[in-house]
Amino acid sequence: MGKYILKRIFYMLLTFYVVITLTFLSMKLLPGTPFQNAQKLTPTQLNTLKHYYGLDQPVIVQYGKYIWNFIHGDLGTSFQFGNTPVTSLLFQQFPVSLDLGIEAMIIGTIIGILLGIVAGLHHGKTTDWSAMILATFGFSIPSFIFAGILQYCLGVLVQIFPVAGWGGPMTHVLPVTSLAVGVLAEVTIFMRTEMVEVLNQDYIVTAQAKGLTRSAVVFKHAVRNALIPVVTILGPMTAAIITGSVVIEGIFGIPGIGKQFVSSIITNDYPMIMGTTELYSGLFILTILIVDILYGVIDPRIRISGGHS
Amino acid sequence: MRKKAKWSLVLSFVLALSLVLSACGGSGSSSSNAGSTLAKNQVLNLASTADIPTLDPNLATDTTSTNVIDMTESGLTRMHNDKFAWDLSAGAPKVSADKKTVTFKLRDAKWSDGKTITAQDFVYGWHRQNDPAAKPAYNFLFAASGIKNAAKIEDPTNKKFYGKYNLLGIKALDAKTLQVQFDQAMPPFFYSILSQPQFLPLRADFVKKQGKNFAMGPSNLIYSGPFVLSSWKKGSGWTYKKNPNYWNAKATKLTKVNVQVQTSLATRVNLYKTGKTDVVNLTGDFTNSMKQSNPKDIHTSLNSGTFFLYINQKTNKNLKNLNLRKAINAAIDRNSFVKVLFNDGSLGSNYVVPKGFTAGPDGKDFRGDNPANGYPAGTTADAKTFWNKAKKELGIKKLNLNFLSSDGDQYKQWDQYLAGQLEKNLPGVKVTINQQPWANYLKLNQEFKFDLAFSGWFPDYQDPMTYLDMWTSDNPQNTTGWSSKKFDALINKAKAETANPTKRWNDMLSAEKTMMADYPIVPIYQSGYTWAQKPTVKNFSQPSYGPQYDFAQTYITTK
Repeated sequence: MGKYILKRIFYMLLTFYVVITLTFLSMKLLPGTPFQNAQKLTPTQLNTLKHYYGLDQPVIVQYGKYIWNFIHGDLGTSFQFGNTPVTSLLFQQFPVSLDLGIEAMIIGTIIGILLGIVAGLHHGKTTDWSAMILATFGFSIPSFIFAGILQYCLGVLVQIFPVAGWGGPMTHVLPVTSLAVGVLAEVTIFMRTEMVEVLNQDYIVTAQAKGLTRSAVVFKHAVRNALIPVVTILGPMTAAIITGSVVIEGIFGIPGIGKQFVSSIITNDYPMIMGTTELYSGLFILTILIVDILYGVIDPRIRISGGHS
Repeated sequence: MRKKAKWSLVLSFVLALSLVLSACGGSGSSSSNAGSTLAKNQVLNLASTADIPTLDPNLATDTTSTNVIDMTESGLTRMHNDKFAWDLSAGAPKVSADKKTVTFKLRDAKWSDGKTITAQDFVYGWHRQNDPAAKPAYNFLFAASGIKNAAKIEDPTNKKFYGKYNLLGIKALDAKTLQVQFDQAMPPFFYSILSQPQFLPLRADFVKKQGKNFAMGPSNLIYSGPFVLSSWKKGSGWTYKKNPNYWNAKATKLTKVNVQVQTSLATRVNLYKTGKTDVVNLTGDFTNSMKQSNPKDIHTSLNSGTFFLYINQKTNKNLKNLNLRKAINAAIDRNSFVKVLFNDGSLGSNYVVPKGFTAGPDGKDFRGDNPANGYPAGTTADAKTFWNKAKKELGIKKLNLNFLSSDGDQYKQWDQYLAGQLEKNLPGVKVTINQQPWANYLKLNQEFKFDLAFSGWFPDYQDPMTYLDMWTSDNPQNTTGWSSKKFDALINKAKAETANPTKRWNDMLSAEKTMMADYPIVPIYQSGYTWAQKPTVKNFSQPSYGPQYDFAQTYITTK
């Protein structure tokens, strides 16, 4: 197990390095400058500004400097936010996105698993159909439309929740719900399919034949096995939710990192593009690692074959 | 075009508010009109479309930063309803006979930490704007104003002067007397430009003590304006509080202004509808629905953004043909364009200098002296006539045009509308739309890789020259290839004539006429804005030059 994890960590760091390098080089292919008033500046004025910021040096030199500073924990300063260090922007805004994403994941996953189990157990019956209709709706309606509807109905028409903002628990309800619906739907569909399949397996019949109670059969044998594929999708889904909440953050005025990622690319804010990419890819790689390890815990077969590959 | 251009949201709001203003004067509580009284709670709630990019006046280039700086700091003047008022300068300065030396007396005013604002603070602030090490982004305003040696100090090829800010024409004669010198007579827009972030005082001891942290947060600044910034939470919003140390604090009625960052228009409208904010700017469908639901709250005005098409006659030889350019100009129905696509007070235009932006020495608007509604563009029938002439002269039957524009959903609609009109009214013309991200748009534009390019311009100073001198032959912003010796001569003459404002004004009027006779660009519209404002909010404005939102003297009434 230890060797398996070490190997995973090595690959993780290698992937991370490749991501940084590719991002840096492709970012430098973006046309234009990070100066927002470029339209107003003459070529001479632009060159002077580029010189101040070291952007007139060859890309390879800039890359070397970047990596050197990165190793020393310096991610540079943002162009969009007048020389504010990128690390301080990330530290301020990322926890908010993380908070939002994790709350949505927890709620969506728990309800999704429960719904999936119930639907799977009542395969083909009304309960199953209702759950599936609900899930299909949640799956096909984009979260931002759902968010808009929730905001208008519960924020403007019936003023139960605040229209926007991020502070007390009340402000969390609408954005977390909007984001959780998609998770819930996906987990429900997955869990139900797995439950139906697992319940038809021979070992379930054996367990029933042994005279185990229904709850023991369902929870000890069926659910545990059905969970494995669900765990597989949870990792990437968590990363996607945390990094992909841009629109929800925009609608509810949440000071998260999502919109930063988009705006830094549009404005050629090089240090910020790098910072957010590193954060996102780091997060993604890390969740995949955790899922890989979790697999091993849930399913010993993976641990063994993974250790040998 | 630029969504966050320096002046991108500035509005002229003279009509409605000049009435309120003249009724209220500067003093407050007794001046309530129509029987309404001052509310107990003088708090204004706003939503901003963007967070504050920076509070460092050297780095500020966008509307949000500029607005915060304008509300919290003071220059020698302050803009209010498109007119300047003496702020830290104790009245009009002494101007020498040749208008090359201007001497300001400072009034007794204090920084928010209680120390006196001195002439040396101005010298330091202006020097810092011309110090390359402090990375100034907008210091070309010093050169544009003709301040002595500024152009040379900002020119990296000038070995003798570059970066030597000590040679700038500003001097503190004593703690209260500030002398500014010019290369030639002071230009007429000088007093209004003094209100801009680039011309503010700064305290050397404070900036040096803060070092890297300067302007990073509310506590890393000292304030000289009507408000201080009391909190700023990145991504969420910020709060202003009244600055009791401001010399004119008695004119500040608001005790607190809360601003929340909301990037979604729907959310901003919902916040307004639920009473969480007092003002909301509207576009598109929201304009129409709000006009119906809250007609009394609606305010509309023109601002100083001009939008036009560049015509590339440098690399496309067909476009050198005057009749073809006339045909393109006549083929576009500007009025239906703004009516169908905006309906927010924007104005179809066929001129270079916008309406309601500057008045000349005669007191008349530039658009009063030159054709008020622009130059006749012609009807669709004229378009066909010009097009037929052009086809004959050029020996062509068909024409493909590459139409470059910035990307984004709204541009898609605009571009299609314009392309559709060209194709419909000029049979045989085929327009290919090329939408590019802003940075790439600029690159392609500067490299002349387009036939027509949709663009916009916002002023840098309150003078017609900010719209005109970009069209001279050697100006890098003139990406049309159009070159007129007559136009260049008129602009150069006007620039040299700062000592004679009337002659200068007339030369600028002639320059616009000369340019528009040649159709080097296709003016499309002057932008306007529509916003909803709670009826209890008074004396709030969105002027065409100066702060984007001016609430320095706003007050709240009970009804």
